[in-house]
Amino acid sequence: MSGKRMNELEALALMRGGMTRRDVLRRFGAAGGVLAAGSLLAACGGSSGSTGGGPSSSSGPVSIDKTVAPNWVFSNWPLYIDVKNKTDHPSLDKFDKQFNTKTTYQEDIEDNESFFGKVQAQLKAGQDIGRDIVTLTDWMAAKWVALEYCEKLDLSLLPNVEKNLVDALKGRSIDPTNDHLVPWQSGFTGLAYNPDLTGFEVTQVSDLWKPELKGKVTVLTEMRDTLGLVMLQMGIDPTKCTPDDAQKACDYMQPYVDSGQIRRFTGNDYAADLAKGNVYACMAWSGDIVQLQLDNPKLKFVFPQQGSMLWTDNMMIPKNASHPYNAHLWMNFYYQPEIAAMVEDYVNYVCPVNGAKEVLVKNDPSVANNPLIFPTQDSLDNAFVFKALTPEEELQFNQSFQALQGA
Amino acid sequence: MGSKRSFAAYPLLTPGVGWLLIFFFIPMAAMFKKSLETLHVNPDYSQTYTFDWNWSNYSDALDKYHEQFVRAFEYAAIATILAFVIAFPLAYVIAFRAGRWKNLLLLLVIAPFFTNYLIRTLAWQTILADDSWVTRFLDWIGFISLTDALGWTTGGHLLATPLAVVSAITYNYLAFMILPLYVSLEKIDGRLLEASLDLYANRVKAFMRVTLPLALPGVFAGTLLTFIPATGDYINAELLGSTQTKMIGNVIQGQFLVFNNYATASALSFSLMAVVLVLIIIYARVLGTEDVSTV
Repeated sequence: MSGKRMNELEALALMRGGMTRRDVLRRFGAAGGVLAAGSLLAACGGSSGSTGGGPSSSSGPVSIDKTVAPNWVFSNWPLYIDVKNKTDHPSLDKFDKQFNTKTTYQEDIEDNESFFGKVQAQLKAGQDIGRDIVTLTDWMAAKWVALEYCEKLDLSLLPNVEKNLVDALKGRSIDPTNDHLVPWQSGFTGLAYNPDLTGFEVTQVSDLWKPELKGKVTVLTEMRDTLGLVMLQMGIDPTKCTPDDAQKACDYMQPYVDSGQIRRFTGNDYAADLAKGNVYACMAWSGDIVQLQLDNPKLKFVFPQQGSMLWTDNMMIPKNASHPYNAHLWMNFYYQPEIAAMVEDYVNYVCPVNGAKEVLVKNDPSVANNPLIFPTQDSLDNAFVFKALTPEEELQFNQSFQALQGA
Repeated sequence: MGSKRSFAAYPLLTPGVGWLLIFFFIPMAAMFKKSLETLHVNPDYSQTYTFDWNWSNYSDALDKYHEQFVRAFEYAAIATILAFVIAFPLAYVIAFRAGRWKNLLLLLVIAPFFTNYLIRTLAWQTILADDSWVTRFLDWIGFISLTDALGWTTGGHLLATPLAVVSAITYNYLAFMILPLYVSLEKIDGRLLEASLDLYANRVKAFMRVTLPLALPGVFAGTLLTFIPATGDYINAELLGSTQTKMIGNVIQGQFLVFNNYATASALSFSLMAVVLVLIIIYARVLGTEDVSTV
């Protein structure tokens, strides 16, 4: 998920991405939207508990013990994997059975920054953080790679990843040596709109500034998403932007903020506004729109002409994790098309595994043919990953963007 | 004897003093220290603070956020006045005219508190939604074009406007105004009113000379209970407002939780406290009551 902030407001306002289709149907069916999300969230709180064991691997070139540990820990975002009978995860059960291990699946990552804050001291001290896989968004994953807070992967243990990883996610700048990160899910940041209310087709960011949409438009509080889309509209490359560019993008938006053209900056709660018709067009995350479309098929997600933003949540092995072999086995296991398809049938984001689509065409064609879950080559070619910011840049970008938001 | 008695009472204060020390004074002192520290962002993305009497945290923060600061006091003041105007007649009726309905009415005043604050505020999103009947009705009678003209709303909608934020603050703190007013009105001895009428005061005069002065402690307590939390409120502006309605509470929340800039956040928190304190002192002097304790 794209590093959105999960504070209590957003949690209540609307569940972030990663909600399963079933949950969405239940939610919209039962409560018509907003309020039920909070209890859903509460119901899926992360479990604690970690396995013991001392640090086993060192930070040099990988040489890991190739015995399967009896248990290991996988930390992920809430509602981001297949679910059966509320608490079972069939894909993990299958893995446990095949390798005779026990996976502790923790849904304890709700926010990139706060999760990092929680484990940073231990990582810095070279301690095992009690998790063998963590799943973090590109820009945070880039920090971990740069700080060497994650283990180098043994690629010989990951033949499926090499074989089945989609081309778009190969050779990313956030992992220069290409051996720290394995994508879990991706998502697009683009535009969403309700054609009945706008009365015209939205195709690019500048369409949001049309006078007839005054006060009916929202953008995202997530800095990289909003500035990325605006920069693309302005012809600035978000994969290479400078603090000056960030300031330019903010200056570009300022008049629309001042005039009330932009109604507000939102987290996931734009989804509620869009569903209710308070907002006609907005910046949006693809996974959310997949959910909303179940309730209102008229809603459209658009890849802006000038390009959309692409983000990925990546599996990685924290430094000095106790059970790196199990982690490798799982990564490789997940990259089998049948297993990825099991997960994808429940998760609304973009699948990074080639072949999963072919499996789903047979089992669940509506998912397989959804361009927001299995995107076309065109939309992937025109999607950009925000560049990794240095600490000073991040501060400057944040300051510009924060001033724009009025708080 | 007297000195002995008061001495014996001191140990009884221990729990209260201890509580205040641990949960009020120490955090307060820590926050004050933090407000004078300088934030450094290290190359490894970690943040460290050094204590160097950095008073510019205050001037920088106020320079940057004076708009939200002033707005917070403006919204809080309007909401307090609105709450008073709504609450006084209601408290009056409950205290003097409700008869056997008194308890039920009081229960109804408190009833919203059985629901979580966030949920109540989120409910306003639905009530004020652009195509809700409330919005359509107010639009139909021309109210929204009036508020648009006054700048209280923009673009013909209620959500994400100052009007929505101020209304919701008023709503959320209304009970804190009603209850103290009710208590002080309810205590008024009816014989005093009878006496004033016997002495040829008419009803208006009796109200102005007897009821209102006796209700002042309630007015004082009610306005403070509404105004003080309202200045620091950020939920209403967050959920029902827009970029143009951010209050100082939103800024402090963002500085603490989004930007992890504890120094600026602490400086703003202390500035807010200082201004509130000064205003209360002035208010207490003007209203001439030190009798808050009777409420």
